[in-house]
Amino acid sequence: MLLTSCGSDDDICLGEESTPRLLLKFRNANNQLVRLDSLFVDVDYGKDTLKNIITSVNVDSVFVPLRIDESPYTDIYIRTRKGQKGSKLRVNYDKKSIYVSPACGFKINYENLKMDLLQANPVQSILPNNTSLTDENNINFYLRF
Amino acid sequence: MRITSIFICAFSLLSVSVFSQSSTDEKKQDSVKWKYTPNFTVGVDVLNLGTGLFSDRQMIQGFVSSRVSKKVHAVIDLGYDNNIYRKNGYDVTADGLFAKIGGFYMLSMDPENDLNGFYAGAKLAGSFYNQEYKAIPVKGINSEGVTVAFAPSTQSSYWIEAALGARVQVFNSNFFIDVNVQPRYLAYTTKQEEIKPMIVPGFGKSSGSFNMGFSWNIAYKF
Repeated sequence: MLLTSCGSDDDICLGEESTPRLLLKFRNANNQLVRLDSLFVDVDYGKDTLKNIITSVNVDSVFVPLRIDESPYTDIYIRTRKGQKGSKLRVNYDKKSIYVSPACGFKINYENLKMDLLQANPVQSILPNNTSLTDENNINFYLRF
Repeated sequence: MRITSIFICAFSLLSVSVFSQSSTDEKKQDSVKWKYTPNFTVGVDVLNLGTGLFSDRQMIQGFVSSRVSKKVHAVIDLGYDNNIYRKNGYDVTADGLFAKIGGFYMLSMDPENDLNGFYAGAKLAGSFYNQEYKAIPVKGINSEGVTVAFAPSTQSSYWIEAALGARVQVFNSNFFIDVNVQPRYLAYTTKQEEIKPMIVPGFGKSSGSFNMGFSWNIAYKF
């Protein structure tokens, strides 16, 4: 009898199995890992305005949630100074829907990640590291400043 | 949900207390040999039929039972259920037929009318239905309202359920009121793309394996 009261009326997704985020780290001209003294990252999710992901000082990495809609790419804008025009990066990928649970529905895994530098400065180049995004344990790209 | 739980708790206690009181009467009745003669009771669930007018779920169900021994009745349930699940980004429809087969045991009987009383039983149930996932949410940060859809498909689900209820004759007519609750456990279900069904006709909401059914029947004894 008591077991029936365990079934809740609302299924809540606890978020432990959501779509993984892209992990970026930074290198300097000498190819050494660096911390940036300030970083602004904005992402185009296909809405009217860009969404600010991080505005921070002294960061060594950033997690960027990619688009999960029909778009085959996500545009990322990176600045290291306020008022700067910044760099535009485009990540292309193949998406795969993975069923998680009744409460969480589906999540997306990304394969064949490819990042293009559409506009340089402050980012100078991109070093791919792991082109598959199925969890948040691997660094996907290094951005060289 | 809470009201249902309270009701079941009270109901269980009530049936236990009635059971203990009537145990002395049983001996007297047992001495009279009970012999099977063809008998059938046919009932229709009027509660779910009625609520179907006001809710997203339309369910028609009925049963045929036969008393096979002094205290044991065999029962078959048949029904049709048309249900939707539109919540948390989901939009799912399912409709189909279901059947249950089982029996129940009279825990306590009215000494003056042994068709009246409380009973407990068990059933095996199966449902064969069409389902369509018009939308299943995709979860990702900063992206809301993204869903995936799948083509309609035919599926089946199987469950076991217990029945706890009471049957009371309406005055001296052949009509009975049969009220029961059905705690149930979803044992097996076929899946489309490994997706756990959100609703199963006859079972109800199925994102958890446990569910509780309630029915209020008007029955006629032939």
